[in-house]
Amino acid sequence: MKGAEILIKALEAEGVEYVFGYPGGAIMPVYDALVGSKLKHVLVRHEQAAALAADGYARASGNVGVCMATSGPGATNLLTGIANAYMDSVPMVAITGQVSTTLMGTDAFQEVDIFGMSMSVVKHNFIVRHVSELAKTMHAAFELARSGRPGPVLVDLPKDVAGAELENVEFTPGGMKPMPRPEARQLHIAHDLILASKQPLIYAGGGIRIARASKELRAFVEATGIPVVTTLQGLGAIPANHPLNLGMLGMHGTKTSNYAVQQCDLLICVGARFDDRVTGRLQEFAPHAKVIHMDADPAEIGKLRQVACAIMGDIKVGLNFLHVRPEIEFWVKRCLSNKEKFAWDYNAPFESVYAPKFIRQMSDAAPENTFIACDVGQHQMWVAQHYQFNQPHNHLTSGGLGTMGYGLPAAIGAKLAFPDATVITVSGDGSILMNIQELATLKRYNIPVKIVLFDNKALGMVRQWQELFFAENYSEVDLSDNPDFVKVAEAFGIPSFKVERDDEIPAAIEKMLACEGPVLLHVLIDPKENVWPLVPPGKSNEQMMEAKVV
Amino acid sequence: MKFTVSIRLSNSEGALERVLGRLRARSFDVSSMSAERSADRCFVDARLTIEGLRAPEPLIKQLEKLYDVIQLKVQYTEGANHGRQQQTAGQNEFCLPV
Repeated sequence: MKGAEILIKALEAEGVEYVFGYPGGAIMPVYDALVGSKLKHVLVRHEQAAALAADGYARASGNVGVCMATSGPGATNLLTGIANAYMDSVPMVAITGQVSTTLMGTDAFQEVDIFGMSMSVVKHNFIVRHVSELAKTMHAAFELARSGRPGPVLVDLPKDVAGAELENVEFTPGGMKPMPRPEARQLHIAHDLILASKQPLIYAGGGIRIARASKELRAFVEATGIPVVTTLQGLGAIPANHPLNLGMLGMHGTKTSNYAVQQCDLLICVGARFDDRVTGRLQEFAPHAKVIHMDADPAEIGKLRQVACAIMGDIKVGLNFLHVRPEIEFWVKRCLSNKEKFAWDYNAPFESVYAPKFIRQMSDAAPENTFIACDVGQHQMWVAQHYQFNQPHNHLTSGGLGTMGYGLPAAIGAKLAFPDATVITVSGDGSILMNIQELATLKRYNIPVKIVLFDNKALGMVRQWQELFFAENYSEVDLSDNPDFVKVAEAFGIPSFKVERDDEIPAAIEKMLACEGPVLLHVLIDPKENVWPLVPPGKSNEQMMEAKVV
Repeated sequence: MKFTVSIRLSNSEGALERVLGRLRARSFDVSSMSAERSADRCFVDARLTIEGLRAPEPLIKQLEKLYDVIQLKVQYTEGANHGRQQQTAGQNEFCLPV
């Protein structure tokens, strides 16, 4: 059996269904072995999209996403998608072709040191220098990618190793290392802290999705009666309409959430990491609170905030243990009163489309368990604020890396993982052009992803910051020369239509959702519309801006 | 803060580079270093003297997470933790010996 066949058999043994990739010189033996295999290969049109689609597939399904590319530019194009998975703890195995071992280090054609280049954005990486190592390396890569705090693992495969022969190969699929149980002593400390607290708050993050612990979180919330705020990655960890859900916290969080964090006396952080977009000025974040931190990754404990109690390991165990009921009626009443007081107002006094209102209407119209894959920018924050997520894996968004161009490939991955679910990409006129070529992938495989493209003829989030923090000195944000997106979509064979007025929204959403195949809805919005509230960079979360300042 | 890390790594490709990369990315300097492969070629034993303005504990946790790290010992040679020793096993138990 050749090395390339071993690799394909190892992927099959791991239960891989989809591989997202793009062929090229050094990985040709693998593509040769792919023919006739059980794997379904999705030919994307740029390697970055292969990694991002694998990421979307993995986030949606919880399984390891797999992507592959050739050496040199194929490998470097994968890197952004790999870094994206690393920042958001997404399980992924990325396979790169490499020049033959005899040519490595000679600046050969399409040779780059992807092993060295990727080192800081992978959980681990391997070069397979001997065919005898290949099967066990592949299985180790899968085990590593999915165990503990998940992440991407890169396997670099030289061409001569892919072509080398080996008999009697054993395939032993990697398992998943069991998550350690939290220490009993820490659980008891947490128990006492919760009982003694007067103003406790739960701060839930992406770790809930990764651990598939939504049910346990909800039971914990309902047993304790403690209000919840969520991070961008934690949206849906508790249903949006749950009475104790105060919404997202942080830079574009709700006033209710940010005020609650600043006032709480106990912050129970579950699967989150005190990211700077969440905390604002770190020294002033939750200034009166003791912290209980539950996380799978010991390196996150105490990284940015000292804790009173560290519950490391399986967060489900921690959540299930801590069903105690503190006396917090006054606090809960205050939080819920703020929630009512600061509820979103969708009454826009103009005829053009108000993006938050559009998103809320789309949320109300879309079927249960619709997947939303976002790009990055203002539209991403509007989705986070206004779409009503009930499950965290329904929300695919590039949090840590903030990768423009994530949405469309991620939606492709999610739709292939859940072919019966509705999958909508929400993008902007800046982001969509980062990976517009994937419209060809939609068409090729007839993947019925819906695309909502908000067009404000600008790089809206950068423009907003230039308006607010750079004295309206607008620099390279104007996109008024955008192509005609309806024609672009149609050139790829994707039906498309335009929405310009508020009164057109319900019918447009209905038409989009009713389309059987892929469709692009081009939504024109006011170029001056901003995302509110906003915690200015370097400020405390209490200092939320709500209107334009000069 | 100055401290010394004695670290046993699996003798796998890039193991030492990964350790040094973590140090650099987190703004620590290496003021001295020695490393030696074990006679059976399974391990690399390295000793690094490290300086930095940041607290070392998060760095140590980051190093412990590395797949190649088998054992790690820290000796604080100055600062608030002067004289303190800390020894941990790496978190990964499925290293591939070369």
